[in-house]
Amino acid sequence: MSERTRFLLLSCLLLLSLALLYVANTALNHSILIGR
Amino acid sequence: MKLARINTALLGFIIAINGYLLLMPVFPKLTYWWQNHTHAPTSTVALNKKVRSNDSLPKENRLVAPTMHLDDQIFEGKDLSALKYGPWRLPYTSTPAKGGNTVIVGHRYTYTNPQGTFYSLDRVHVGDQIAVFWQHKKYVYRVHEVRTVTPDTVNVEAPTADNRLTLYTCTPLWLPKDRLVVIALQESSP
Repeated sequence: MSERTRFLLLSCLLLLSLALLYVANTALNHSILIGR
Repeated sequence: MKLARINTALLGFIIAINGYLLLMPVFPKLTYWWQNHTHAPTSTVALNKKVRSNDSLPKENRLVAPTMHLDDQIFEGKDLSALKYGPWRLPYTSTPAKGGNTVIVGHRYTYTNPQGTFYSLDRVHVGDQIAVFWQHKKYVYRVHEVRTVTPDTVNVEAPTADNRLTLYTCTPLWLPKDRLVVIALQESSP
């Protein structure tokens, strides 16, 4: 695998990881209130 | 050569982010385990300490639950933003001073602060003591019931004839679709 291909792959994985962190944090920060 | 260094840095970032994502939620559990095995919870001492004068009571409103190693300030606020600071007393419910049903809620776990206000609420069992320091007075409650309810079970927030403390948070930890509710009845008042 060329360095350029590896760079593209790792960039995508980094973006995916950041998105996962954002989604996980948003999901855990949801409204916990009963009935709302 | 330069691209190879960038790739190494990118790989480092990916490992760091995913490590943080996976390990941080386990951290409160490790802290709880460590506190349980190294020393008696300081809040137990605070709970059992005989209060001789109002000067020795905390100035701010506090929730003390020794079983879950919790000794935290109770925050007041009109909306959910108060949850960012710690345990939040629901403004439309009662207070320990007024009697009735005092409802305090907290996040189970968040990646941002506070990271695990009620993380260990599932460690609380029937018979455990919980104290609330409210307006320089100490109110002691004993856990009467622990149950899991659906998010539409609004009666847990309803006013009651008896003086009680209701704590709730999300459950289970990873897929929080229900609410874990702890109901404690007042044992002693100032």
